[in-house]
Amino acid sequence: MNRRNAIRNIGIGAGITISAGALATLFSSCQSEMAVEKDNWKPQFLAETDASLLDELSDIILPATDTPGAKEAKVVRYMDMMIKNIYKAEDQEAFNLGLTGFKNLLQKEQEVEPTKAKRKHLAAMLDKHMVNLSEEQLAEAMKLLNSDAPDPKAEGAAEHPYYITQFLASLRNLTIAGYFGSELIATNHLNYLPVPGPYQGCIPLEEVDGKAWAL
Amino acid sequence: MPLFDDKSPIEYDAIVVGTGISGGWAAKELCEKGIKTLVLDRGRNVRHVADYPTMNLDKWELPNHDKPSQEDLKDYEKQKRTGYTVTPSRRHFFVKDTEHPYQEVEGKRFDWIRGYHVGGRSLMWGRQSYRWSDIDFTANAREGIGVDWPIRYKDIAPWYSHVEKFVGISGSKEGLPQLPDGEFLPPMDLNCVEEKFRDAIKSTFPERTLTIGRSAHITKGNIGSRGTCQSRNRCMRGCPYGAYFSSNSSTLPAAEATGNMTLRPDSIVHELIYDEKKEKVTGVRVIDRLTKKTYEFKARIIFLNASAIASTSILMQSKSKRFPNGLGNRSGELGHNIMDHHFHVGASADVEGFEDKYYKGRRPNGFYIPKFRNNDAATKHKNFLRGYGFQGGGSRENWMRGVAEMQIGGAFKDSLMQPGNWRIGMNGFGEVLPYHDNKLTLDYENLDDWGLPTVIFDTEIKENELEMRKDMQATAVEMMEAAGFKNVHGYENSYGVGLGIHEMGTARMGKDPKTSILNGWNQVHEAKNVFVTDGACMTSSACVNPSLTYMALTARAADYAVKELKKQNL
Repeated sequence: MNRRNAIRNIGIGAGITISAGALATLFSSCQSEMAVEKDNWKPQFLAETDASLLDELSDIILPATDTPGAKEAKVVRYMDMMIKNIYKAEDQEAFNLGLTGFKNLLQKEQEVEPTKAKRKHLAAMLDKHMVNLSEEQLAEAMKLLNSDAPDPKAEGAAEHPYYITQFLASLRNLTIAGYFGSELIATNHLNYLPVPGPYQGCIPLEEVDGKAWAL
Repeated sequence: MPLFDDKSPIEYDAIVVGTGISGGWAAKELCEKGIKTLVLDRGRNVRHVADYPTMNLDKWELPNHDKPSQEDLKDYEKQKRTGYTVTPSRRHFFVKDTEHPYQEVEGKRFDWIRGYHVGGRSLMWGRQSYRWSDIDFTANAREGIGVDWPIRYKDIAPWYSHVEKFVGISGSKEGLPQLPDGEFLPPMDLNCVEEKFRDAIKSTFPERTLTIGRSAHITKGNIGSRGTCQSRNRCMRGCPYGAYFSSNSSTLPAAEATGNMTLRPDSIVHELIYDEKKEKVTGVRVIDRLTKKTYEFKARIIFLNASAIASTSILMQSKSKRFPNGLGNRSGELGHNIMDHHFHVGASADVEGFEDKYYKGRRPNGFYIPKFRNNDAATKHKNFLRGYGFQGGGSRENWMRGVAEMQIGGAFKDSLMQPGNWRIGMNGFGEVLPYHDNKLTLDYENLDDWGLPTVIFDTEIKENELEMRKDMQATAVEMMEAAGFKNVHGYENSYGVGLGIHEMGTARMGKDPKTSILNGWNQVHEAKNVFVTDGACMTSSACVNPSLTYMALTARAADYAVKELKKQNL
């Protein structure tokens, strides 16, 4: 099985079901260096400092090029909404545990307070824990994503690789779905055609400038 | 719509119970023949276009990007089993299980997925429209299963034509004995990958055919005020163009145009009134959904089109000295022989090549591979009776593929702006045999909010279906492999009877009142002014989507009923 097929199921299975409340308050007193948004938006589920962290993480996963990055697409708002409304209570708890675990790991490996972490620290974390996985690490991650959750109430549950792996899968899933499903990206940067007219089964890709349909 | 009001009469020539795909047809045909008709539906009124609140919304305009919230799901414990009914764009067309409970016997799931509103499931149906053949109509008799159908293809063929011309069915003529051609509008396109699959199947398996799905969408011109399909694929929300067939867009407006229809929504019919002396039904008993006031409406003929389970339940609740076990139920078959189509088994694969090809539009349709088992001696399968068809489609992956690729960064992001590789998938739909012990009963202990008994289901698929499912997966895989597709993956997911939303058979047609409820004209054998023309009437299930057959049977029965009325026979 090739690498791509091995991980094909990650997002669909694991990602959609995960996230953050109790520990949010632990960090809410700290000032964030990362601006969430300049307008009046307040996260409903995430602590503001965590929202800032996820905002930055999403923008590392999908940064601005000649098209907008995840920050500009306000992906963090989508994340907050979906975790609050769509996730089951146990998945919210798992997301929170994984987020805590991720922040603890960030502090340990990058030697920085999570609320003071810079983009480079977070990029290093994603490189190590998401992008540059060995085949063995990838296989382990796959196994974790398809295994049962360890007891979330157990001592040190946040440190369990299960929760951190689930958190990273959720982060990916929410970032990509929130970005490409946003009005900004769908209507301006994908091929948005709300009323296509008669279906044409086989057209040259160049006829639509090589761009994927938005809907 | 001409709605019932205080000045409306309580007596009519005909009453139609239910406004779904068959009730709409009963209303249209009766009204067009000059019959004053009261049309009742248990749910709220839904006006074409005006009451399709989500028809034009993009997902970012819908709550939670059109995903059901945990809060939403609490009300839809059973309806959510489909995975597609409870979304913010659709859930207003499905019942809340908290308001309309039913029960399942221990360990046997039954998925009763439905909407209570004018138009019923004709608003949210799958729109696939296929004729039955004599292979289907004769199967029970040939194999000694259940009872024989009292009709054959020649009896229904002209009625298929009659309804197809009004519905608008797009499709391609194939000349297959097991899937007769109809009156088709131009077929929708197959895409290039599906064409390759079609050609590969044709060359490797001469007895198998891939064709474009035959779907109830207008692909050319107009039918009345209904327009051409715009490939938005938002059919289940209601179509602003009226491009797919529904009662709301099509039959009810036609009935209204005659001036002969009175529509009364919010009318829960729970009993037919049987007159022991006249040996006829004289009317219906109704509870108003909102006020809970009770009414009796009278008519010379009754068409029961409340859906298979609900029509059966009404007959069961209609008890009299002559029919202590439910109207027309001296055979004891009422409520038995529930069928559906079993599915959630098939295959998917990667398709190499065609990178420079794409498609335009969101086709609300797919390809269809008609039944190729047990059509004749040469195709007889040793392990099971009957057969199955496949519905499927090919498409290019979208940005969702990016979730699984453990990459990040700008180049990765920009690559997801382009279409991904081609994929193909298909799902089998198989015939379910009529088993006497697959049944519903009524529970008079657990009543609903209107004081009416609730339904208990006791159903399962058995050996024949389980054997068929093995073959469905195997042939799906073998066809994809023969086409040279890569990473062919056969699958089988859980299925509960009813999930096909093709529940049928609980008041079956037959030749003999001792073993069936309805005769060859869909009349209750023993109360001839009652016609049941929804899924309840089905004697076997075939493997094709049933709605077109319900429509044809309804039009045929309405024609007969009016002739009989005029002859003073009813």
